[in-house]
Amino acid sequence: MFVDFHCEFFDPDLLKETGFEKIVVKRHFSSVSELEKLKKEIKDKNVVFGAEITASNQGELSRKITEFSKSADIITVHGETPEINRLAVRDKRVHALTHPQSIKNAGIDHSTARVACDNGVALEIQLFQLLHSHGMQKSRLMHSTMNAVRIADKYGMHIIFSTGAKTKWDLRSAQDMVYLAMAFGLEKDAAKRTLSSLPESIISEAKK
Amino acid sequence: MKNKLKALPATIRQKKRYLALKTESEKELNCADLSKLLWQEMILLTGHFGTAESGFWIIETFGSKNTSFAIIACEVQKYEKVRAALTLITYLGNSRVRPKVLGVSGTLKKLRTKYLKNTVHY
Repeated sequence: MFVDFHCEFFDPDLLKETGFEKIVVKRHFSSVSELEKLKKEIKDKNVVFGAEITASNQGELSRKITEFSKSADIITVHGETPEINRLAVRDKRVHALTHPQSIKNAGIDHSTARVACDNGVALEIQLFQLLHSHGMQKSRLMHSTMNAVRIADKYGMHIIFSTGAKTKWDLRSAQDMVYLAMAFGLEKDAAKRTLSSLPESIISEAKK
Repeated sequence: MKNKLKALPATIRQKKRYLALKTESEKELNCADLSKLLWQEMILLTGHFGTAESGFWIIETFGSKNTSFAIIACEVQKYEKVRAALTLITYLGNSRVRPKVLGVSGTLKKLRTKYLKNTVHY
């Protein structure tokens, strides 16, 4: 069963066409009420709701995690500076660190990956950033993503690939996503796991 | 005397894989343009060396209105890279596109009967 760990909208027909059976509708919510409103709008057993948190300091990060962990099933932290990434992986309430890589670096180092592995925080790589960068930026971002995957793989940090789709044009099929994960240096079985069993286990753990 | 080269010896010849690609586009795409634009995108994504190594070749393009299909040939060892590169295509010309690989096969006949049977063309 394939799971899309980040999609900002829900279309049951497109979900069926792309081969995903479960989807995490996750956005950058400004308040909990926005999330509650979305929950009322979408009622489907294959949809799980999540919140992606952006923070510039430790106080803001922990405040937002506490705020959203009450109503969101999945909590992820948007990768920012290396300091924020380190703080995010230390918190056990966080399920994943989302695209920490930038055109300059991988955003995580071996110590971050080790802590993340101990706390069960996964590395989430979104296709959206790769699709919407061009030329040199795209090449550098791909290079950073490869490095992030290498580090995470070596130190036992779970890796998840997601579409991060904002519109239907950003969606890709689950099988194509597996081949994309392989292009970033994963074996076929490991690539499949990043889109199926790993996100599924995180969702079932979060729902307990 | 025949003025034709003989086929590569079997020991040198690389095995091929054929991919059936479906592209949904925002605007209508001309099939002749599709081939040109796919070539441009592949060279942009994998470079001249990557495209050459993969043995990328567009055998056929067809379709109507906003849905187009392409049959792509590439070498068996590189088909995973080609498939990943095709996933990263976002624009063809001025139109936003959503590519989807319908399937991969070792023969053209199987590809056409298995993955492209329901298209208008076949």
